[in-house]
Amino acid sequence: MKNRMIKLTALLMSVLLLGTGCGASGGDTAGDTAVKEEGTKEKAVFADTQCPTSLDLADSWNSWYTSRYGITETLFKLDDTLTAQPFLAESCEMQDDTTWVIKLRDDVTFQNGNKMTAETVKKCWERTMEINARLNELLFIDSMQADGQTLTVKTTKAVPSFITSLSEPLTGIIDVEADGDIAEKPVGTGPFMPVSYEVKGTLEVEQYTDYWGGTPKLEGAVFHVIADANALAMAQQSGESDLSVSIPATSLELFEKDDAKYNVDGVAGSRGQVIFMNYDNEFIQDIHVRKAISMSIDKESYANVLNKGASVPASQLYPDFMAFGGSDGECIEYDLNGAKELLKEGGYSDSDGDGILDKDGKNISLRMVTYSTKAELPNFCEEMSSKLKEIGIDLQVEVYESVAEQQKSGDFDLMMISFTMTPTGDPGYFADIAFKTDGSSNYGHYSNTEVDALIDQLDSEFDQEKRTELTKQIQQKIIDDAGYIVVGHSKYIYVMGSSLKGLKTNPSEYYLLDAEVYIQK
Amino acid sequence: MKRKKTEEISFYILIGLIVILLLAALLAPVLAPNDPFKTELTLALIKPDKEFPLGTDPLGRCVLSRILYGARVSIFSSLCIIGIVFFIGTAIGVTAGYLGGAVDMVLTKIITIMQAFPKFILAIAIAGVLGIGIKNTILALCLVEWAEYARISRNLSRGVKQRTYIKAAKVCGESRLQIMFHHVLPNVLPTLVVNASLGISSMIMEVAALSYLGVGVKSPMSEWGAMMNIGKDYLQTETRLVIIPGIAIFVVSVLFNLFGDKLRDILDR
Repeated sequence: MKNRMIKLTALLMSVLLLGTGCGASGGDTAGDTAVKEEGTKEKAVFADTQCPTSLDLADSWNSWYTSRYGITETLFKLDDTLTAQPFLAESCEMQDDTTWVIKLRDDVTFQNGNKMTAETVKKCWERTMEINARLNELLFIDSMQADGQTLTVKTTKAVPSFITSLSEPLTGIIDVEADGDIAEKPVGTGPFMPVSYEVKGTLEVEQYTDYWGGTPKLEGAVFHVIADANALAMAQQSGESDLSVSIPATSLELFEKDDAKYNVDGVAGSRGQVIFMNYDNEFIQDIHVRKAISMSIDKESYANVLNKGASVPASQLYPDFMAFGGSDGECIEYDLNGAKELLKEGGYSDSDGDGILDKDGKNISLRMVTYSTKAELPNFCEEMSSKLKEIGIDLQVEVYESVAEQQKSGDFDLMMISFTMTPTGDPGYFADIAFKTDGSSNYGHYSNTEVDALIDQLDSEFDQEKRTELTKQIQQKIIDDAGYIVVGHSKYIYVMGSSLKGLKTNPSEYYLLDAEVYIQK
Repeated sequence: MKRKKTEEISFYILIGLIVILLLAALLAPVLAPNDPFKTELTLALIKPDKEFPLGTDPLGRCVLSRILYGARVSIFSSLCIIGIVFFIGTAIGVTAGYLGGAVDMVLTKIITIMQAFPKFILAIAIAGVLGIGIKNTILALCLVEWAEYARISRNLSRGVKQRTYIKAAKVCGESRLQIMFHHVLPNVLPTLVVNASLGISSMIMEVAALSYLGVGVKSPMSEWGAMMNIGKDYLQTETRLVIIPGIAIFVVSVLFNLFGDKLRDILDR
């Protein structure tokens, strides 16, 4: 009797607990629907897992968000092939190696009605430069001269990627002399103006009727931040969101099979799953080991099976769809037996019979670190660990929230991270920061003097074809070294309710909402 | 009389079930139909069939084999933690409770400080600092769990200390250590054993929770919480990936809880 009572109570308790859990989430949903009902007709609801720290575009990476939200715009804009096309500017011409003349459009106004002139652009960049050093890693501005709609920029050195850099959202234009707090209500030139923003919560924007590209089709939009990827998918399913960014690949099939209700649109991007190898490790220093690791990765299966097609396998390092992508070069093919042979050639053997190869009495045992916020990374690492075991290398995988610590301390043998390799469509950026001996993101201290020399050449080469050629050479050298491994590149995927129309996908992560997006009734 | 008998029978049945469970965990290498660590992407996410009775996970590993191997980690690490904290906690608690005075004051303060922290959050922090791995998980949980056992055994020992037989033992000239071992310990032990056996299930959950959060076992080691973590991304498409390890945790927890419950009934009699 007593026992039955205990069991009954336990059952009751668990039901109660379940009830409170559901109750809480139920409450949230109710709140969200209220927001939606108010604007079902003319407002679109967007959801993403990430958000900016404020709406001040000069601060850290916030400009990427203000650009996606349709608040700020740049002088040039990237097209589908990541080539910069004039946008707020009419043209940008090089006068000599260090002088650029930018002609601005005459019909652009800020969201407070003020006209955008060369003077306002100059003032905006001066402010951004003061707050964010990254602007000058892009533009290398020495001095600026404003005259009507013409801005003349002198740079501190030759900057071949100047025009593509003008499409990086950080170079976006706001009216710095407008009233109000820039962090809360920046005044940009885009089709939408911010109404309110709560960090990690909700952003509301409304249309700017005098937008230079014509009155936006939507009256406004709401952006929800839903950090949990599963909750994000469920919000899309319940119809709370019209569009979701960063839906996990694992939930994509839910939407793909229901194509009357949803559109899934993805475009190959440049966000690579990059493996950094730490050259302080004695085994990593041996090209036999590096190459064997490369050969044990079946990039096709990683992208198509593990990541369910949400990424595209990389032939070499840069994305294949780009002019300088490595699809026509020599690649390292998936070949487990070849990897075993290679290790044997390198003098490794399993002398103590524990299944792990060794040399001079030391087992090849490596530590790999990665992080969990990009859902595919831990799975990729586990698969690697299993395949490396087959060729006799022991790989221990450690999954953290963030690997920023390890990047600083170098406390890893292998590290897989997700890295946007060509944000502006230019190869120089990633080569400078990762492939160069003293690059700021060269976490594993890869070093090859030939590669360094080629990168220096790339940094001062203006001719686009030669740049492509140089990039291909750099890439081939690194592949010959097996110095870096790029598993694949993530697609930039949106899931949309089928009533949302007019949205154009772009391989850069810069754009989302624009004047052409509308909801079909 | 009859009731007593049925109770005893159900106790033995429970013991039998637990023995079967432990054997299944121990014999995982023999029982598992497939290699639990070998990934094969061509076999990813297969529905249950003859070759893979519970299907495969996203990396193409046999779920049943991973559950069996995971049982070793989940159950034996929990038993190991309970064993350690039971030993340390009891030693500290009995010493503090019996000796009293300054020793008691200092030890009680330490216990109180330890108990003032939210236990699980402290365990996450410690495991996080020590790094990922099953040894560190065990260490972290031991560091936060011992205080509870020390507190109980200290309070019990203080009660026992007042009994006349302790005074008699003192008069007979037994040393403190002898009294602690021969008279105090045997009298507090039954309650502690019951408490420990009831603690096993919560420990299984805590080990699983730490692994679920990613501060527990290192991959490719298989553990139930870690399996749920992999499965959570497939919650809507491959629900079994979460349900199966969930059922495993549930069944084992219930078994150990019922065992503790019955043990108390029998020892209380």
